[in-house]
Amino acid sequence: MKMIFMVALVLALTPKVFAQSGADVLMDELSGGKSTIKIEPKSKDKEANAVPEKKVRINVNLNDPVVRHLFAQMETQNNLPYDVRAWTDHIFSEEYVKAAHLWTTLQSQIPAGFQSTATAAHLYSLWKIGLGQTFFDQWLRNLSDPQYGTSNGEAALESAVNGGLENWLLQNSIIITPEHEAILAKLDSKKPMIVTLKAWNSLRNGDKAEDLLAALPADSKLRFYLAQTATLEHIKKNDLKGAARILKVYMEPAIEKNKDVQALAQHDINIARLLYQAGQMSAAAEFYKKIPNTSPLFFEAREELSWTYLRRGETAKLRGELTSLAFSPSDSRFLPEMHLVKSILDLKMCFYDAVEKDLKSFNEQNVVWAKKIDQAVTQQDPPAPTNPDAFTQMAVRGTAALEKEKARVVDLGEQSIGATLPAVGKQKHWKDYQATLESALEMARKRQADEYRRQWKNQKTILAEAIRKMRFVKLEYLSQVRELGKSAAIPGSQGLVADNNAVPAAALTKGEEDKITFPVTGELWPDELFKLRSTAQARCLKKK
Amino acid sequence: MRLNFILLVALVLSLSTLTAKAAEEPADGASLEDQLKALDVSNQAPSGISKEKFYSVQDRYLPLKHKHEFSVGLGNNLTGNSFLSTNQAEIGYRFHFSNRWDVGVSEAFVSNKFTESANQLQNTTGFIPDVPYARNRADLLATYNVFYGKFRLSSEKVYYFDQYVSVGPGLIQLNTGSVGAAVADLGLALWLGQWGSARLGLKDYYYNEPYRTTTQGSHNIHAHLDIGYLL
Repeated sequence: MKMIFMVALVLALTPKVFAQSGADVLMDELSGGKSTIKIEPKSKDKEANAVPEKKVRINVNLNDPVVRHLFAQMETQNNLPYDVRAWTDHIFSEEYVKAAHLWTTLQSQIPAGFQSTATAAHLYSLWKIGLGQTFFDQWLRNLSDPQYGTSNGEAALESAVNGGLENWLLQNSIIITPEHEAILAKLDSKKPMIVTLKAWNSLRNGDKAEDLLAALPADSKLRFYLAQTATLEHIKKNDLKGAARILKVYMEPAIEKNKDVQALAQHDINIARLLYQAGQMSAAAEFYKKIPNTSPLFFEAREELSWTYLRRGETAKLRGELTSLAFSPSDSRFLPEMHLVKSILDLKMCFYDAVEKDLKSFNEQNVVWAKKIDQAVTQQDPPAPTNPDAFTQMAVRGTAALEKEKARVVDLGEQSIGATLPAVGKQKHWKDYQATLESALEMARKRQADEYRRQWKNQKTILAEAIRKMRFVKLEYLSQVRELGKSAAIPGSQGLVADNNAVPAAALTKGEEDKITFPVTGELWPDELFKLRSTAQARCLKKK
Repeated sequence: MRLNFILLVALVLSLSTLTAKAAEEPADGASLEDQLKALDVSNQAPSGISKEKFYSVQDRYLPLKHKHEFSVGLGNNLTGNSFLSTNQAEIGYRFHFSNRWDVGVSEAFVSNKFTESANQLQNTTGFIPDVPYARNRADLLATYNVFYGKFRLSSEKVYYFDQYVSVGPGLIQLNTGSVGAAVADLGLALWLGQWGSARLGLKDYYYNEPYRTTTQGSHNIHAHLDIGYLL
């Protein structure tokens, strides 16, 4: 009798002691410490005391919300089948691939009360394996089920993935299918995670971008992309003020928090363009000058800066700027307006022979680009643009990630043949995932081609516009040369002003006492690029 | 009838102008390459082009205004008494009021050694040369940067410098006591990045050296190299 009481007492105390250990660990975790707990997995054989088994001790990382939730749920489920327990052991041991292989065979054995926990744990395995698109697809499909969406398992999964969700979305450049969109539309928009997903879905949606910008936290990395989309939308509507507001309110704080130099350069050039559009040439010039020479936008910014000099009549600076641009030529730089601005300036200063050279240089420089662009815009699968922008880079990253993921899933499918008994071929869920990935990959390739085409089309518009303006230059040039010919024929006509009226060097820095001038003779030194000023004066006929 | 005829001629003329224009300017649907070809011009401009000079207009690589410069250096007396070989270690501080002007103080710790001549004199005659020698030198100098320049040793890297001149009073602690001095320094300050300097110059301490029987004005011109840190 005493013996029975003793056994009963031990049995009654054991769970309490165990619970105490778990509570201690949780308390430890709450106090910021990292904790693990060692458990001895229950086994069907052991329970039956049939075969003495070698003890396997597993470190359970209770700092991991999903593992902690799975661990807690598993302890409350007394009648979990052996296979399910074995599967959880894989997760506790961080053997996520092994766990993922078992998913199909496990389906029929998971008790109803454990379903959402198991689903969250399986999704977490996919996340941990690095199957980004597959995880996302399965996650959203499960979220469409309200029972799963409100479960503790999902809450644990969210707390595990939410911290790095933005970076993860950006790195994997996840594809959102129409089916995903429909699910997302039904989900609670107040949850930060859902806001992030909706923002991701609206990166290229001008109508929704602004509303989502307001809902995102200030340091969100998605703000940079969304703000660009929202700004463009305002500019399309000729609402410069609205565009400036977006940049000021949303873009600036995000850049400041993330300390991203390239994003700052993009921001500065956007501001400069808005100011230029608004006619604020001086302020625009200051922002163009802020773009560092390490930025891919540097030469574009300097080309646009030359327009501000032209509009302000700062010929000394403009000639210097254009000389610097011409001095740093590269086939990979698309700067169709460089020679256009030079030709306008030369025409304005009556350097007619220089205008002819400008027209020739314009043709020579742009004919290569014209061929490339003409070919690219007509192709169904256009080549990559020379300077892919942030959106194009994202699309390329997405396609590459999906191709890699598809290969991985195919490989996992092969591995799954021997991963379960009896060997029944590839596990069904891997086949399903492969099919989903193929369709996502198709969308990704289309997205990439669209982004490529967009950039080529933008270049086409820019070049066509430059050619259109150059036509006016040509007409004006021909007209002025004709006039000059007539006036030279008139006895007593002065013709062009003599060519000896250069500006004195000191006049180049008038009002800028701190500036230091160095004459440029022969070779241009590396520190002199984009700091040149010219002494040339216009030599047009003085009208009486 | 006559009015109709005039209108008809005007219409034909305007149409022909439009056609000519269309021939000259390719349609918007034309390829970019074709549109570019239409921009070709033959030589029509009068010859001769403006002779154009370019200047590089730059800010100072290292602005000096309100900067503090701390330095350490070494100097060697080039013109001292022939019986003595004199070197000195220096520490200094200068405050830059502007890119042109600064004021600085420095102290030099002097090391003197008899030269071979002095040793020979002592060995042959038993006399030790009558030479006053400095133990410490301190000065307070006002400096003016005369011109700013640059040079390069490769096609990639450009170095900047100021040619400076400094004058001011000094105090020399000799083995026989302290004397006042007039100090002048002439040299180059080479700017190392945004934080450093290397000053290479000739510094002259002019003061009266008291000998056993007389006192004599003496130039002590030191070649010196100082490495500085700017805050």
